[in-house]
Amino acid sequence: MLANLMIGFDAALSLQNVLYALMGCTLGTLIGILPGLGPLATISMLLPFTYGIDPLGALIMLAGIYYGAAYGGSTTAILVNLPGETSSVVTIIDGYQMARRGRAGVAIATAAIASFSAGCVGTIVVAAFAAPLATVAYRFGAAEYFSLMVVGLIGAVSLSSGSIPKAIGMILVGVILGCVGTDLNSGTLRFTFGQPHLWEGLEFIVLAVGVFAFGEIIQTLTSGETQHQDVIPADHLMPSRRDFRRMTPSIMRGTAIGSMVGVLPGAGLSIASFFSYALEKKVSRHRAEMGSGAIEGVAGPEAANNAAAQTAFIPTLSLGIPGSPTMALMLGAMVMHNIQPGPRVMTSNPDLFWGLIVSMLIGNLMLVILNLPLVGLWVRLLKIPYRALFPAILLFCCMGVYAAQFSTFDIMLAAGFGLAGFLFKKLDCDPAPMILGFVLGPMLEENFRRALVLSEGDFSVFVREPISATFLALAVLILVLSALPRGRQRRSLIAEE
Amino acid sequence: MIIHDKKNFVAGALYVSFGALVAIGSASYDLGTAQRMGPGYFPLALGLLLMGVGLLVAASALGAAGPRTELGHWPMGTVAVVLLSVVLFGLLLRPLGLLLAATVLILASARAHSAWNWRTSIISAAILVPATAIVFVGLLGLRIPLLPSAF
Repeated sequence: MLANLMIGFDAALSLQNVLYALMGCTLGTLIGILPGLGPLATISMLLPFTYGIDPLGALIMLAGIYYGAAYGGSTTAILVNLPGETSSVVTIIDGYQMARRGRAGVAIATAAIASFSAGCVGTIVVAAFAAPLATVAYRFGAAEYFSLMVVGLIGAVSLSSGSIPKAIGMILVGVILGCVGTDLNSGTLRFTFGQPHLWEGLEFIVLAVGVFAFGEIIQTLTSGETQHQDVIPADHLMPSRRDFRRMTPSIMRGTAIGSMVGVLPGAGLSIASFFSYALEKKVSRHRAEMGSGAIEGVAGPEAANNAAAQTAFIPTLSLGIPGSPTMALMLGAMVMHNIQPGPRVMTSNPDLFWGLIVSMLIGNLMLVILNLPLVGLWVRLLKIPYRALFPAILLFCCMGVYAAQFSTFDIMLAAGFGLAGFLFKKLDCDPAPMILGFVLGPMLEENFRRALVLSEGDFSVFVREPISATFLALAVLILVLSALPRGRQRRSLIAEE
Repeated sequence: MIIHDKKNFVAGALYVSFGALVAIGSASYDLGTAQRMGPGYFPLALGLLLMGVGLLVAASALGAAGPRTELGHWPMGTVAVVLLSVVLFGLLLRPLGLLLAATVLILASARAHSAWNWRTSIISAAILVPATAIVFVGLLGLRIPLLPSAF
């Protein structure tokens, strides 16, 4: 592992790549701080900034954007009582209370310290587990891979909000959209409607910007949440020694929970912070204060969601199977840069793989450096009214979509998906599983077809191979468990909190 | 028959119709056999599966035991302003160039906000359009025409 990390340090510590990490973190924090733009919309909006960069630089920058966004959300949560990202919903509870008691600066510093230490531990976990997992996955055949992807998708469904059949439907819609373009085996054009721009498939950013960014803009505009918010000023950043003593155990517990939850398919950051908050409420020595400004309520969840943000890279990097929609987005971005994620990346591009992991450490450090002294600037950013903000977001999204293929058709297609995104919101169809299905779709089809070629058309191959059968049994088990009344209750609880 | 869960019913109906369209579309491609699948095989299976799931979702919406939902308020005006501004931007970008198309996008989309007024939208256009041109064309070097193609 050490030798590998050295390769990573070599690759990531070039001046250029450090700059990309810095840029990614800054942009991610900048957009993450704005309320009403989730991490998915943030990443899809900032994707064009990575187009012209080499693959490693682009990945480093994207990763920076990703945890910058996760991090910036907590500042908004504490200062404005609005979640900048869904993962900060839990931070609001105690963070905003701390801010109201004049401890906004301490709350922000706590969030930064918790995120930083959890991020570092998370990175080490990634470095330790991604490689062995990839070695296992390297031996998987087509049938095993197909079944593994099914488990990933079903796992995502079981943890998404809302009804399970509806989420499965959204996955299928995503996989179908993934079929658009040239069929690789026969060269036939599928569902391209005579549009040459669709020959290479639906552009990923078109779908992401349409459904998430445009969808969220419309949602925010129509929900009446655009009124001017009071921003609590943040000063006195330094936590006292007593604060440090109180936050340390919470950070450790949060990190442990987050690292585990992050690996689970579909779990996402908000669930990690929710679990951590629930745990703090049970075991913390100061649990009586929870809800009225306890530092544990900020430290634990913030550590958990940052640790989860790191370990979510494990399945994505080593198996090529994203556990969450955000990771699906990262995976889609890798594909745009002609990297096919999966167990082979580590052996074919070791500098890329380890460079990305090391850059996570660098990125975490940058976030602390960036966030604490710049709090004042971020606060000013929060004062920009939404009516001035959303046309800018809209314009940047359009530019990003256009820049992917220089196609104005794509811009209009994205508007169409914006309409679909609005429809999904209105019908309570969570679009997150769809993006997962879309990204995994082509791989799903390829492995499905290859498995059946090898088995000469015998469908029982998926249950005859022991590993594949185990995966499928696991998928069924997850489905049954989450359909049971108790699982349902827990799911709705998670969705509500 | 009373539909208790209107949201789920509409969602299910949409799944069924989209699945049917996909299935019909896939049937026109070569299906092949399970061993040698043609381009139509996988999407046909997906379309049929989606129809099945859609029926399940819609059927569950009919039972009185489930939750009751209404379709609620549909602010189609806002949706139209936002999305049509985007379409307009797509249509104008090539013939008019980035500067004009972006101005149109900002001025048009700003009307979607309830507190809209001319002054703020002109100010934001005056700041945003040059900023976008500098970032995307200047810094990122994207090949986008700035001015109308006639010039």
